[in-house]
Amino acid sequence: MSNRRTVFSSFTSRGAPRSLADETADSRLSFLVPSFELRAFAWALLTVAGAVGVALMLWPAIGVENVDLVFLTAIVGVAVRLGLWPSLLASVMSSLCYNFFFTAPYYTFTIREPASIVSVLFFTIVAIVVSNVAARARVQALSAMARARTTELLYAFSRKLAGVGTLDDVLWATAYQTALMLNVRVVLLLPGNGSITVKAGYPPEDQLEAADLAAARWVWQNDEPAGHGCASLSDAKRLFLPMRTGRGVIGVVGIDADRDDPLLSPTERRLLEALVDQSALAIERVHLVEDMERVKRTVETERLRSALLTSISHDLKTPLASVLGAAGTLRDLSSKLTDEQKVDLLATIVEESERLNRFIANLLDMTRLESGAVVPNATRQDLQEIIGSVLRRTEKVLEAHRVTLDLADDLPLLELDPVLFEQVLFNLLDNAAKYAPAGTTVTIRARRQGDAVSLQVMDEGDGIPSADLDHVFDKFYRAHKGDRVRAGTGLGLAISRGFVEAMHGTISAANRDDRTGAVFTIKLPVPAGRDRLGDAA
Amino acid sequence: MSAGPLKILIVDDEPPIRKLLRMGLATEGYETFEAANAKAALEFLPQHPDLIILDLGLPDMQGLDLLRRIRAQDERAAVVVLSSRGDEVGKVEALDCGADDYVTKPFGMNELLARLRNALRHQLQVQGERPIFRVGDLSVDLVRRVVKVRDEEVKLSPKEYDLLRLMVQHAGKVLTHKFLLGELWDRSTDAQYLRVYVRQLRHKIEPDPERPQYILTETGIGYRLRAPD
Repeated sequence: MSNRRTVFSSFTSRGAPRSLADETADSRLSFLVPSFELRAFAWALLTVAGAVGVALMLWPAIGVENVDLVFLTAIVGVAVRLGLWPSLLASVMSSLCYNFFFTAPYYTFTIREPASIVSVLFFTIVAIVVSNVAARARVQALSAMARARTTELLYAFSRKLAGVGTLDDVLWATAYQTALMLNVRVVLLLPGNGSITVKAGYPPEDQLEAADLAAARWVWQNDEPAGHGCASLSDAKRLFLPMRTGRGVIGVVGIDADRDDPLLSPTERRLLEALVDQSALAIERVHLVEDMERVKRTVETERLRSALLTSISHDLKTPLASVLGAAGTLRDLSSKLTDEQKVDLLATIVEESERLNRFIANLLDMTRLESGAVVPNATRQDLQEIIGSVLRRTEKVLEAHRVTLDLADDLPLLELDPVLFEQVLFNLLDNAAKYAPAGTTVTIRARRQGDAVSLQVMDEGDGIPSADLDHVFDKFYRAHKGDRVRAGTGLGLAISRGFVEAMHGTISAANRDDRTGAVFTIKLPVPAGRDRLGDAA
Repeated sequence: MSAGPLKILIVDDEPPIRKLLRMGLATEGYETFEAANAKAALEFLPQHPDLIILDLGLPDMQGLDLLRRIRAQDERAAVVVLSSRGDEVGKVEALDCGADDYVTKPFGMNELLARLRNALRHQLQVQGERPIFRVGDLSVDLVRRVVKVRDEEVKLSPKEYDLLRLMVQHAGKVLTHKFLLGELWDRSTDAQYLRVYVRQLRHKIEPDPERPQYILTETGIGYRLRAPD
């Protein structure tokens, strides 16, 4: 919904639609039909009056034989500015005035000399011809302008559609823009659930009358316009047009308006068809993008599924085999085992079960992340406290390592889900324990850096091969190590990244600058508002 | 308290788990009873078990509903809840509904037995509270209100002392944020205040406040003071 509003405002913010619509309405080919606008005729008369004034002033200087040029100039001006009919009026008025003021006897409409009769006659003919030619030039200029304007509008429209990402937005933009540009009401129907239904409208509309729905369906099935003003199903209130792409009809657009005259002029009809074409292309583009996403997801899911199967068959079966084997041995061969061997087998059962438990826990976490079920319950947390708690949990994992804490004193409280964050740290420490040799030091360092807190977990292992740096957070990715290291689940770091990102943080992997070893850095934003740790103290 | 062994009711629908618990509890000399569902558990209540181990995932009733009904009928029995990992909300709800503690499945028998001892100790303590609480180098004299670390007296603010006293009174038991806030301020107070006081208290009584030994954090749930040695 918010997305739609953004698009809406991007259409309105430039203030364009309203003015576009007005200009489009102006260019509704008024020049083809005689438009008896009183103002135009008044201007024509005024221009002729002006011409009379100028001619009277210039007459002594230029001579009567050149006075007609003044009138012709005025007529051409009227024809170019105001069109054919005002200029014809100007022609007639000019020839009358010419006769009245400039042929003897002066100030009468009578003509005495035959030469003057010819003069007035030719003047009238020339005036009318010039009127015509100039007016036609105007018509051509205007229609060229209108075409340019239409092209420009269509271009702007298609550019807007290109930037729109979702089907909803495309439909909304189409309905809105068409409604404004043609001053009509618009509905858009798209297929769904085996039939076509209204998906968008401007003004918003979600139901159609039976006759209109029938017309829309007819258009959908026959790929031809129908409804108001068409041969087919003309009792429908709206005019329906098919929205076509190379792949066929993808939807139907319906329009109506509150005017009696033909719903659309031919130009408007062409504009509508162009708009609908653009929109159809945009809709198809959105569909294609969705299809591609779906294919990509399917491929990704398939890849994951096979990785998961491989992983499960190995990671679940190996410990299970150990547990079953050890337990079976204890049950069946108990009398032949030394006490030491029994203790050893029991330890195997416990350890391998714990490993199995960790793996299943990781699988569950990963599943929760991927299904979007991880919703952090973030509250203000003391990083030091979470670290203290995770150290207790990792005591056993890290019993062969030293852990050094290097936490700044000025750490602010952070917005964290403590349970998720503890798991993130647990996974990082568990990872360090796996990849750094026993007896080395694992350092946890936390610093405030402006609006963020950076938390680093550093080990003293061999570090991460640079080719692997980009992949350590991938699912089921395990850095290649010798037999020394027991493989993890390949999920711990992927889960850590998922959890950190769910809490609006980032996590990255690198190698240490000061010595060999890996360093994982988590950056978390410092929440806005006062740090209340100081308040209460 | 009746004489004889303590009576523990195991409420779980999984026979292998009940068997495991039965064997483990027997090693401590407890007398065990089993219920495979909520109905059987409620029917057993008139026999006044000392402690109930309650699995929250029962087939015939929501674990929390059963807990509320148990609490309505029997306020004295200690209740330790078995819950699954990741269900912190469920654990907090159970504790706020009157459970004494929780154990996350899968659990080690030692851990479970320790939790049971704590829950039962708390019950027994009601009759005769020990005047001086000791754990590690920490000692708290609840009568004279004196707190010592390595025999040196530690000065606590009144609020810090109240917090510590509350934890001592429930030593070994997990106390939810809500409970602690309700006792010390009121339940609507922001948990940040609690965090601040816990931090201060740790700095005064813990040998290494960054790795607390006494006041343990139960992430997402609350705090637990280590049980006396």
